[in-house]
Amino acid sequence: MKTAIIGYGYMGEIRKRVIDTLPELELSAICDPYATPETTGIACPHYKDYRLAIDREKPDIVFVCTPNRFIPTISVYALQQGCHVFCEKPPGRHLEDIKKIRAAEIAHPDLKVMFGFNHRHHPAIIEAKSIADAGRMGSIMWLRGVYGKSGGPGRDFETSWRNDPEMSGGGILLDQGIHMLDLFRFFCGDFQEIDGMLATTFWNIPVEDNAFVFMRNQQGQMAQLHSSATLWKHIFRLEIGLEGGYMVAQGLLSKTGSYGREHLIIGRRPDPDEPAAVGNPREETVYFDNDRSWELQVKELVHCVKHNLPVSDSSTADALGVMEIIDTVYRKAKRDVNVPYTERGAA
Amino acid sequence: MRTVVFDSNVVETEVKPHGKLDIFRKMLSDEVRDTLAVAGTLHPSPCPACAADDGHRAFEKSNLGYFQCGNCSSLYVSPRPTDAAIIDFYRRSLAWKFWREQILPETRATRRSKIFYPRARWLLDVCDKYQPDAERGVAVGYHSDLLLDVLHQLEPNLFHVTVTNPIADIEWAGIEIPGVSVQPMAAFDFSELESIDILLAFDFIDRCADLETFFGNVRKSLKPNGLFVASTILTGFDVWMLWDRSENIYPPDRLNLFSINGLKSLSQRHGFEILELSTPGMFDADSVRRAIEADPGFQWPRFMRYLFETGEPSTFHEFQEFLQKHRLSSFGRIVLRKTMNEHTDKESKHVG
Repeated sequence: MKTAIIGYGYMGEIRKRVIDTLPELELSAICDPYATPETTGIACPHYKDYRLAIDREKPDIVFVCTPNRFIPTISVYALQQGCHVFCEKPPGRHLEDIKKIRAAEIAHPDLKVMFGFNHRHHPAIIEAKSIADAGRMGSIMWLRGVYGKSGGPGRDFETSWRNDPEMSGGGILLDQGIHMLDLFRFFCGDFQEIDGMLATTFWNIPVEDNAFVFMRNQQGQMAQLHSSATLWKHIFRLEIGLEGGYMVAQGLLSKTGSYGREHLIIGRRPDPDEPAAVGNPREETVYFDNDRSWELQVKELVHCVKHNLPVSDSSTADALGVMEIIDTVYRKAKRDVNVPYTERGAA
Repeated sequence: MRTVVFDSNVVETEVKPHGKLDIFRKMLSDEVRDTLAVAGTLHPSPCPACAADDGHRAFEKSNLGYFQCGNCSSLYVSPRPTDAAIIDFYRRSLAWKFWREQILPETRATRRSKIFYPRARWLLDVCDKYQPDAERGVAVGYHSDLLLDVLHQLEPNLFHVTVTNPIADIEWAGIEIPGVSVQPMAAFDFSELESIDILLAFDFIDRCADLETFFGNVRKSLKPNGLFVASTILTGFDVWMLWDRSENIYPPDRLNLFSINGLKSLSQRHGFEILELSTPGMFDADSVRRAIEADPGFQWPRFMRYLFETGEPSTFHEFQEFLQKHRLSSFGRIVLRKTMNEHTDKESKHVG
């Protein structure tokens, strides 16, 4: 299958490496205003205009790896030209953006659309999901997630397009917290009660650098997220409370390793004949060596395309679901006129 | 590949009462020397892990010589008795009778709660993840009743398990567990038990004389993507520290002490993908501490002496966790999956 990568930055390079590992895929075009064969070292045709790249190369799959602002336009165009789409998260700047993509997908029912919620395919999450789904530890009662980064050295973070509302549409919640919200939905489905608070506490940016989100669904399962750009120690931590125990997925197998070694702690509620273990049960910790999340996700899309199967993982429905949560939190934050978060940033 | 670390509150004496264990080891050593380590009945062996013929003599136990592989650093007995001779030994051994009658009953409750409950729960998680629709399992080796009993208690709808314990007439006498059938097989040849989803080999591959044949039979009998779950002794911390003084090295139970690289080589050479390789051992630090206590005049490394003479209990606990986390303990556990293409797998056999 022929592929085109639109947007050849950090994520575009990751997608290129994945394409190289899958024999079914062939890179036919790169589109990026700053990329040339000389700068990328890749021999395939390079374009500045995504429409030309799609029209001329006629790829089977288009990887949309651009800043958020361009995602809906390019994704919709690719679908209209008969291409399957793999789109990075977040799926645009606003709820309306994903609705446009969803509408284009519905208009082209034979085409597949998948979004880059790759955290579902991290090994600790796969392990936790397997254990939760098996049901031996009972139902999930609650989820608690912390996902955050330091923003980087100096003040460069403040000038990143990710913190330009025109380009990104939101702050750390939309950029990174979206992964944790997606995992909440992955484990517990849709949430009906949603509340949250946003704050710009440190960085001089017009979007939030910290967000707290609280949710509950119809089954009574509760979830809490702290998404932050002021965690000077990078943290990924998802706690899962079950009737018969708990799991903690912590660390991420990432390029820099700054989130720590990825592992899953599994603890079980002590049996009645283990009174000494109450409050401090035996734990098992599973460490992981390989992150195949990028590859697994794209393989799944290729599988769906080859066999004309509906996309059930990281689908437009998933993207829509998670953007509805973020939209709700943003709308509530804007209504909070007493403490408007955009006015609380450090000057 | 996964690595699993256990935080457990078990202490070695709870599952290994040292007074009786000393008697057992003495009886076993005498019996091995007199009946198993008999010249003319032994066969030279290359490294059973990586198959290299590059070993140098390390030490001797009960008249059997241990070699260290120059390629993968595994320890192994060579020349060694045959599997048939070992089975016959277990059948007749008074030391093992003592183990079954004196040590196992005394430690059964603790083993059940602190060793086999966690092991069974872990095993069920493994099955849920990799073989949720398994219908047929096989348990090879010895002493498997406690694990299977706990497994059945935790999961009454577990897949059917065939026990091939070659001395089941002794070890499984009077034991009945729902969903478990006993079919002793002396040669560990599973050709009549094809289409196996999961094969369990706890505490067996370290005492198997002909691992090439055994691994070949396992591969042949497993379904595609079938699981092979095994535990074994490794050349971990206490083995490296104590070497020939280690009480945990005794034939015929410990014919093969694999290094991590050796175990990887053995697995991949036979067409298995390694899903998990862990060293969740709990007793390395305690073994070394006891050895230092028992022989304070020996020239132990200064730091080890300092650590084990002055360390707090929490220090030992965390030290043991460190060993587990970095695959340095001498008890190993491995989960393998039969890969589809044997030729491809064999080409990628060199590890580490």
